[in-house]
Amino acid sequence: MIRSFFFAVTAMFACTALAADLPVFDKEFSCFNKVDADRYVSDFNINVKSFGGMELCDSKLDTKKLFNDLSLVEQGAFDVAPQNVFIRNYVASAEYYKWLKQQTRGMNRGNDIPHATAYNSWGYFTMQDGWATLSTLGRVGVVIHEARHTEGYRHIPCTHGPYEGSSNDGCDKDYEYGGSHAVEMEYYGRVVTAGRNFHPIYKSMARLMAMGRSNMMFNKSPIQVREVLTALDKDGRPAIVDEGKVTVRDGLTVAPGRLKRASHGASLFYGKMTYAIDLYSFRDQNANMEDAYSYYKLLFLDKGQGPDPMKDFEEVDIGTRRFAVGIKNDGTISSYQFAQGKWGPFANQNANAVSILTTSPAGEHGVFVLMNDGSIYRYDALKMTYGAPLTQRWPKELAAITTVNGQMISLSTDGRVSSFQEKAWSEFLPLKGVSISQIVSSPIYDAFVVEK
Amino acid sequence: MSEISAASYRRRMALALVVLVAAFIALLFTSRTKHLKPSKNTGSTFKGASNSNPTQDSQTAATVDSKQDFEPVFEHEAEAIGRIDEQPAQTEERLREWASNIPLSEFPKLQEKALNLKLNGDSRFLAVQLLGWTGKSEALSFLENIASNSIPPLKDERALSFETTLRALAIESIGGVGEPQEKLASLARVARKSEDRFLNDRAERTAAWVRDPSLRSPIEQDRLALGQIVDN
Repeated sequence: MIRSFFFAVTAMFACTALAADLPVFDKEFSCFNKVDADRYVSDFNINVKSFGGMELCDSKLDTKKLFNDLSLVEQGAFDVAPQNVFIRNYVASAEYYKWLKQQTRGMNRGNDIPHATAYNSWGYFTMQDGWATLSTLGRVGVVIHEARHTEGYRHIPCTHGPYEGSSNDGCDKDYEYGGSHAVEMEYYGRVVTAGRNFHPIYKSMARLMAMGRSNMMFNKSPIQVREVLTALDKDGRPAIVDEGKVTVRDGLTVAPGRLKRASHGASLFYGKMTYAIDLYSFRDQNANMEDAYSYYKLLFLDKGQGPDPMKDFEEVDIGTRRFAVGIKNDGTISSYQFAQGKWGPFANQNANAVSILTTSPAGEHGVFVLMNDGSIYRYDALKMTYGAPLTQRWPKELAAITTVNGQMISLSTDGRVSSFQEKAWSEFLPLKGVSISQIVSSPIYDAFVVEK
Repeated sequence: MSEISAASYRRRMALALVVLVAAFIALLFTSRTKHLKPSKNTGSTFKGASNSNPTQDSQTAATVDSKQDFEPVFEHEAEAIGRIDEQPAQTEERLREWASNIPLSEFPKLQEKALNLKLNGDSRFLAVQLLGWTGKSEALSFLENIASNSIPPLKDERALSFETTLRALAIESIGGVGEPQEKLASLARVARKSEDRFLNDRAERTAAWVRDPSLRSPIEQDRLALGQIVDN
């Protein structure tokens, strides 16, 4: 009887204890170590009161968030791999905490500059309301970013993205500059590729944050799409030339339109719509694929361009800015206003306008308009105005010209493809003996090009 | 049997029954606790992350799919994102297992969490990731809703970055649920609505990979590029 009672009490006690062990019921589950917290306060001269007072357990309070962030910086570990030519090592991977401590004279919480996430004034960081609502990775990124400013790195005006035109300088020239954005991106990159003890979702966030911000925060992105040459033979059958290798792809079931470079690859333009060329694989022969991915989709959306087909259309990236430019059949021209979500007014009517070029005969990249007399005018897609004509006219024997990963490639009207190498044009060997009708460079989405 | 001994027998039987019930409840909690208890050694949030017995993991994941358990477990999983995790591979395996057992009735809530600007970033990102890891075609429409949801006009550049990143994850996740034609149609709809260059790029990369799975996935492409940028 006593034994039974003892067992019952033990079992009930065990049950209660186990329930308390469940983290969802465990008040101590998320509590931070007091010794470490005190050390962080001392190492970073944290104004605890401004963060809401000392808090070790409640993650909703900013003090606890900051402790978590600093512990991630301190305890985050990275595998050491063989070094290569891309080494930047702006901050040594094993020394993030030490480095952060060196660059920080104090940490405060405030909201005196609400449009900022945080700011650094002579080594004193002030975290704004925006910092508190970020993800953990976002907050850690901010701390690392701000620390680099202490070393004297400043931002410059953005040429694109959310800070473009802003009075607040928010971008870095490029990754090579090694500024705050580069140091932050290096951290994200390390978390993704060498992080040993980070949560998988933290890593996932770091990967997308690095890729997304590489496009936004550098005036020259370190990561760019890779290019191939897309060519149509005289029967309209497409092929891609990738590092000298030719791969034939499926044609469409309709007569070929005009071959265009698109942000996703290549498309055939039909005035009112485009079909995408599948650069990656063979498809169902009867499934022509509308191009919904690039800005050629504007052709079948009502964005103020009117119901008539366009005479010509180009989607073109200049630097890190993207433009969509269209010429109507009446010879008026305009560019799409991304901020307003509609076309600008079609104006500058010129009945002689034939087509839009994105590479001049000299290989210059930009937006140009070819007239029916062979003259070429520069077009400012930002201001929507024509510039002066180029000194060089369009050669009669030239059918198309493009650049692929920096190399000029041309197509003559007799179907021959040439490349410009060592200051001279020579036959483009991968397409030797094939009669080609159209060529264009195309971004290919099976890899990125990383600038050295 | 005397009347006294019969009463004693009934008391003993009742006590034994209580003991059995208590033991059964204790066993239930034991299996959950193995999965969820925080680790004292590593600072990792959950001891379950180091559990090398996949069968046990699987059984434990199944215990947290009821409506009653979902919210508190979700909160703690979100909090764990901001912690050191000594065994991220096991954590991912465990979360995938959990996601695959999340009932369809929770999918709208995950979408709601993902788009709730008042929630912290970790919770919102977890909600999208879980929808993708369900692997169920029913998740596709929710992911599409997240991916094509207009980015609010936020003044804080970092808040904007986060909104874009969240949608990029939703786009990638579309590539992991449903039939190829459904995914492609969904990605095309997302791309049509989006004017964001990064999101359009993500949609096309994902679509290219869906059309030809022998290509590198967008995740692999990112890792390769980032690997070239940093020192590894």
